[in-house]
Amino acid sequence: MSFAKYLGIRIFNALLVLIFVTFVVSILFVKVAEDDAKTRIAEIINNEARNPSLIRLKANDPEAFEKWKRNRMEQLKREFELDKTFWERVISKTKNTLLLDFGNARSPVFGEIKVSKIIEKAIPRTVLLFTTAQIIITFIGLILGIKAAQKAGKAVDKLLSVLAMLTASLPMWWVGMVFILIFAFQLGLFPASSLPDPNLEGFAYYRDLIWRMLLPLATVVFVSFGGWAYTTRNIMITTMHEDFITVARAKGVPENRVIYGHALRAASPPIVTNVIIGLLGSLGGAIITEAVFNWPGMGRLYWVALQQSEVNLLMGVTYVTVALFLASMIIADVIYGYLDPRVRVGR
Amino acid sequence: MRLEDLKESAKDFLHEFRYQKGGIIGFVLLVILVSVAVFAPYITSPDVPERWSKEFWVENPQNAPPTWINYFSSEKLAPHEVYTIEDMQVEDMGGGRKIIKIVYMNSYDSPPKDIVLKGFETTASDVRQKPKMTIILKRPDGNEIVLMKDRRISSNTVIQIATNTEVKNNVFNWAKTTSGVQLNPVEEIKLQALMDTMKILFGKVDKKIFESPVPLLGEYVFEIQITSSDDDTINLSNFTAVFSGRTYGLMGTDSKGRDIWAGLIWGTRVSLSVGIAVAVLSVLIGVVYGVASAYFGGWRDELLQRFNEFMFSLPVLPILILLGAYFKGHVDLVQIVLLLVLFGWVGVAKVARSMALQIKEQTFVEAARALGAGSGRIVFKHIMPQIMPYAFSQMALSVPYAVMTEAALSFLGLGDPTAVTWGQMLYDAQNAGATINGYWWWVIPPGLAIALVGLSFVLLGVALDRILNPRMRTL
Amino acid sequence: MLLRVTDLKTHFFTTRGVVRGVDGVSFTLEKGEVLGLAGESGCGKSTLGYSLIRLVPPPGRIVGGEIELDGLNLTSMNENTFRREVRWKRISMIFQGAMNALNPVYSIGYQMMEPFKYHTDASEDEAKERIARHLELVGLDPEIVSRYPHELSGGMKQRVMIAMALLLEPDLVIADEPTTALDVIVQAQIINLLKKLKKELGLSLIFITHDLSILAEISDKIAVMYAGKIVELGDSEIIYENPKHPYTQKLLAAIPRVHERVDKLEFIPGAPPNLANPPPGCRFHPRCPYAIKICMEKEPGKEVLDDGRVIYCHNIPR
Repeated sequence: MSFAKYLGIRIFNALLVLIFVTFVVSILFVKVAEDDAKTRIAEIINNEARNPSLIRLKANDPEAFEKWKRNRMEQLKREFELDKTFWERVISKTKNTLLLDFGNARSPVFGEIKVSKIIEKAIPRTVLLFTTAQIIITFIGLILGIKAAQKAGKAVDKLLSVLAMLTASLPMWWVGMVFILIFAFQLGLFPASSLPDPNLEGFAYYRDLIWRMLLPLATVVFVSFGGWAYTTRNIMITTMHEDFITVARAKGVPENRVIYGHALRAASPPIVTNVIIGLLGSLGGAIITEAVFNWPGMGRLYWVALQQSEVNLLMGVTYVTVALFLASMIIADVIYGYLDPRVRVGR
Repeated sequence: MRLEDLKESAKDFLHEFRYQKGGIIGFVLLVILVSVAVFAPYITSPDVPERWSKEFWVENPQNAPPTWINYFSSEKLAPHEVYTIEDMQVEDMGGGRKIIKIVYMNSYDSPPKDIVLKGFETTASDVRQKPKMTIILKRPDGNEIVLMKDRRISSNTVIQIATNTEVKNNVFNWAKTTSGVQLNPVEEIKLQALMDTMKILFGKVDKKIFESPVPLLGEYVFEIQITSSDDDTINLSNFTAVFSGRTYGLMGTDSKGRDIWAGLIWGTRVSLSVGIAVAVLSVLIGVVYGVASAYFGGWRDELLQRFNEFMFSLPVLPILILLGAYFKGHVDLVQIVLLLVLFGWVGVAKVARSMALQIKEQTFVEAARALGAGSGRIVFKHIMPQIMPYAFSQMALSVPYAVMTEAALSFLGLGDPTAVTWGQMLYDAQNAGATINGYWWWVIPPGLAIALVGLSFVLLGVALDRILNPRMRTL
Repeated sequence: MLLRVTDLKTHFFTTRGVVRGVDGVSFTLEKGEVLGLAGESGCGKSTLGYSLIRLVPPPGRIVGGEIELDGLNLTSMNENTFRREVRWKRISMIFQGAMNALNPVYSIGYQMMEPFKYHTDASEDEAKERIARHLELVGLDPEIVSRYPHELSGGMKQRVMIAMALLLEPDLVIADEPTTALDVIVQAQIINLLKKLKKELGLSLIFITHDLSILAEISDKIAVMYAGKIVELGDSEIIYENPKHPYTQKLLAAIPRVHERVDKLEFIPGAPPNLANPPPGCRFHPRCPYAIKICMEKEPGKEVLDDGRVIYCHNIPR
């Protein structure tokens, strides 16, 4: 099977998963929305019934009032699509969601009311924060991991595994809270809220943005780099025990080239996959970390959606997160295929 | 024979375990955590979970730091103290007159926030027959202040000295006369509204008594005189005076006055039980799933693997958040466990399948099959015993994941609102702006507790892994 | 004389004590000669091979003795000079694990180009030309350079390894069980190839194997190792036809022969000793049927017999 065909199948699979997940989630969503809509309808009718003319109508001709109420109810049900059957609504919700039409939020977020627009604004910010963090983590991780692999069993190595175990047990978002306590509250070095100042423009805006990004960035890096370095170390140690490393040494390849050329290059497919899987694995913690810092990305949207019961928004962010997750897995596959000739040519 | 085998391997295991320093630390931590969870009602009080989510803890100060910070700061803050009737001197003067004396040693730069008197139980029904109470404060400098005179009290009377209007007026007037500070009327109204009654009560009498009172250290005696009419009884056995502290207990309090120490102790129960339940269930399900998949082979294996891959390709937390929202944020603990198990078994199943496949191909299994061993025998006699070591270490390593995900859900307000959990404490802290207000005692301990549980299981898991899966030892 | 090894000692410093992998080995090798190094697994043959190219894996270390190549002292040479001047250029190695000796992420061409890059100033075309010639020499299509290891069969990979080992025309090639991982037919092909190369190029080769039947075909001299020491060393035919050391005898009795009738294949009871704590005296005595009292007390000294062989034994069976 050629790699292109393999990739095609992967993409097709991912799409199937996405459709299926959207369908299941839509079932839940429609159920929630139904309860929601019923209360909303009751609220609207109660509000309108306070209109003096209707109060008079109710007093003079109760039957006519009841009739008005019934009609209005029907009308509203149509408006909220409650007249359709449950499954019709599920199907249409699934379809709309797949086509990125998530409806509107009840109150504007980031100055937008349309959920797709809100998410459009949030994604680049999340990507900015976490890609930057991941690049830093990968870099530190590689350096530390390789050093530890070279000195396996020595003090550096032991220190790294202790560090990895310690940081692996820390919830990232809690570290964020502690960082705010220390660096924002106690030392006053950084702002506690990472919400950028929208009044700034140009260079000043970006400076402000970076300034506000530093603390969340530090949090993500602090929690993740130990574990990541440990993973690199394990992959590197396994690779360094391979015969071809001995062969490279026997060929007289300088030690640096053996490690950074042969070993690292051979270890790169699993390392890259681990980077991406790690990135995706930290997604959960990242979502909450954003909320802690008020960083206006996807995580913040989750927080807003949950706090204000914005059902449409929640549905939108979940869908987009799942889609991004699936896409990243495919990207991981592509990069793996690019790095590992065994996958590239055939499987 | 089998029992002896078991004994032998247990002995081997213990022997090896002794060389795993991390494992021993993890084990000790775990024992401590489990005992804390078990003895929570004795360490704190048994009614904590019930009271936790329902009410304000009115008798406690809000957002008070722990008392031990006094050891580290130059400014000594009054701790929270509760005086019951046993701590007071009660004199029965006869004729329905009782004098209660509360002796309070003030050695703090910052006096108590408030003094709350409550727990009078009277039988008087007629308003005019209600007992009268007068409170006089005798200060170490010899001054006496009448805080309250002939106040009628009933069973539900609660006196808060710091905010009581009568006390405020009395204290203001006393302070003005004794200090001789001249005030113009505008200033007077402003000062009277803004003054901190407690700081003046426990302050030195000088010109600065209103602007910046200097603490007066020494013995303060509160004399409470209660006069009741002859035919009515007043029962003071439940009478308490709460000196509401600027600091509180071991871990301070949150914005609802809840004792954070109590929350931490009780949180251990939820954290451990959720973590262990999720880990054990998901690993067992994963192992069974993986072994079944490997054993069946063919289209059933294919089908099970497709489903496994499907689950693997889902981002866990976003889906959990959505499910949590579906339950409208009232997910009870059993539901949380089930939700976490729903995603927890996936990775284990993958590894268990590939291990089972390898074992299936081993010669001795083939030999057993050739000798006519049934599939049940092969699975339970050959495959399971080889997978179990992996399963055990995996269980330990899954606990931190479960604990952290549970905490994360709680932190998003999707936990069980009736349970005392660390995640929920942090959720409350976040909502109360604890970080930007510097309530570190509210933020740091719950997270450390989560980390401690995580760490002890990681240490244990890594040690188990090293012993039970020796091929990993070189790594 | 090409290679002289004198009293070489390579020890492993493990947590369970010092493992004497190679413990006082001496031999010499003439130019164009093939020395077969035989013995059971774990007797130190591979460690000896790795010691010669100074790639003993940690915690192992050469602790004593001398290796001299063409009068050049290799043991005292500094690491960097040794890497630049000796590895692959003067001593190259064909490895045991044919499956894994090539880096899966680099093309064959890249991996064959590397020795030129680090040891010569040959131009790229020149190098390519030589690579093609060597690939043809081992019976491979030169087009193979653009392929990746996983696209080759085990036999092809081993041929690539051999071609690569010969690229810089080194003085000495060490072949560490080059045929072990291969199936019998491919084994025979590789042996024939090595025989051909020996004849055509006048290859000086140290051939390490546990399979004495292979050595009979290819080697001029055979050294038999046991527990980190050489027990018998001599011309191939002499050793093969008339083994003197009890261990060599046992080893040879354990292989089937094509031209002779062998009623029963023998095996040697017991296992090689733990090298962290070898038995006193002659290390073979616990398994030796001819052991006498002195064998348990004193290590046998070197003895040169009339036929030129070297033997270490107190009680040479007649």
